[in-house]
Amino acid sequence: MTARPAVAVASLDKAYAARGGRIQALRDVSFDVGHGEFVSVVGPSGCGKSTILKILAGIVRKSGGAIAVDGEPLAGPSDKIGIVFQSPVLLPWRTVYENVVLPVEVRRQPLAPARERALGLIRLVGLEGFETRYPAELSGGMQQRVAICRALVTDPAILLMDEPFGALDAMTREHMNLELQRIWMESRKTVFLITHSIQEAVFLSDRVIVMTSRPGRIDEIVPIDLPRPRSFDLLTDARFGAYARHIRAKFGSQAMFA
Amino acid sequence: MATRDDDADESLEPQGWTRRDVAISAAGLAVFLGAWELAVRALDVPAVVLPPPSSVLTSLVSIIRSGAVFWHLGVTLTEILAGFAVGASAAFVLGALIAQFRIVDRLLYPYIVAFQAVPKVAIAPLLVIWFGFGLESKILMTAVIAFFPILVNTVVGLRTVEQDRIDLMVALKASRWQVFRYVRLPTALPFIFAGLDVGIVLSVIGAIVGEFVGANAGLGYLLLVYNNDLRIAAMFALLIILAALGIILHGVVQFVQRRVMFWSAPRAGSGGP
Repeated sequence: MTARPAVAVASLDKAYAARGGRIQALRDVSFDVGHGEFVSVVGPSGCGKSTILKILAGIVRKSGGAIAVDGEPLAGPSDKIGIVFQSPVLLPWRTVYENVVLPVEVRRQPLAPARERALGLIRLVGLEGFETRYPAELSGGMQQRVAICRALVTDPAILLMDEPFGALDAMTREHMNLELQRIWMESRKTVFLITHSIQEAVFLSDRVIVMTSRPGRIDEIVPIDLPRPRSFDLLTDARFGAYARHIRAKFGSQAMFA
Repeated sequence: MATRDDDADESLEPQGWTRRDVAISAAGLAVFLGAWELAVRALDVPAVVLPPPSSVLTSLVSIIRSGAVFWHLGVTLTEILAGFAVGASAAFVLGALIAQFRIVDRLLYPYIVAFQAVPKVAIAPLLVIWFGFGLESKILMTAVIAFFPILVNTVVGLRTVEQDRIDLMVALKASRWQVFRYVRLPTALPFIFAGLDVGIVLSVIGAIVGEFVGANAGLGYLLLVYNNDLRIAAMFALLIILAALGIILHGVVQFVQRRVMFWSAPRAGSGGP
């Protein structure tokens, strides 16, 4: 590992102007994400975890602090970053393949070399044969896999995911967690995942950032020292349970998590 | 058991017309026309006031047989299509500019909305003075009357875009034009087509009103001629032709909409949610 992390966030602040004054969404948030590392953020609703992701994606402006990606200060949307949103956000008039190559078209990169890569990604997520289908013909889980392909098609070093499986049913969600682990291990991307599921965070991550709300601050960063590849047998493992309990205890007895 | 089967049929074909539905609809029309025919004959209503459906039909057949109506139909159709094309294009371009640029919105939109309060029919005589008795004044009348619904729908449609889609494009460093082309325009199409659908029907009105005010050809002109001659049955026949024209034009817009917006049509054998 080099001294330069993939993402370095230092003293990040975000305040919104709102009716009746300013709302401090994030205060003094600092963390690093190493190259190839899988880092999750958990926290109660309104703790600003999605705001961090939107700032990293260049969609929302920060109020203060510094962000560096690969050692360079982040100014707006970066080619080094791919994003998966909470909903798939596929364009219904484009086929699966056309949705996947959208970033290539928008960035005016040549389509020919991207084609192989797009088809490879579609194969990687198990959607071979669906290239010419339209989003309306796919299930929610399949749509979200298309969104993952779209985020990876330009081969960004960093993948940002904002509660990507929140809208899926429990079974599909577990399946998608395994898929994501596999994709991550095969592609060796740096992944930054926002989730409200402690189980998902512990299962997938190298480190879990635990946040508190109003203003959003980092409570603790928990390293998850469990062997890879992880399977769902791990859920009944004592160490897994200890990590989950430790994180859940951060929020006291309040039922803030589903 | 029978109820259950009926329910199942209904869920399979929620909007479809069964043969029975068509029969009910046709029977309703037949009863209406029959009552009209009987009432006119029984009450001895003069044909210059209200002709019976039978003489309207005779009139329609003879108008079509003589072929004279087709020249006028062609003139009116030209006015409708040219006026609709001009009005729709202007509405789309202006609507896109208003939706995209705040300065254009503030500069023009209030006045366009205020202009909409002017009854367009009232400016028809002006248009004849400015552009003469030929096609131009009718095309402009049609364009002006079709313009507004298409403009408003374009503006609303282009602004009704899910924030997620915009965020996606922003994260990809898309230009304003790319956001328009890749996301805003396709998202706005259902609205724009709704506007076009209203616009095409209004275009028929525009052309006829334009011809009423001053013309020497067209179905509107022909209506006035028949009116002067008290050929009331022939006027009814023209109304039927105009209604058919409106329905066909509406159908064409719907057909184009289904072709352009292929993705919003329900797909057979779709894979569920």
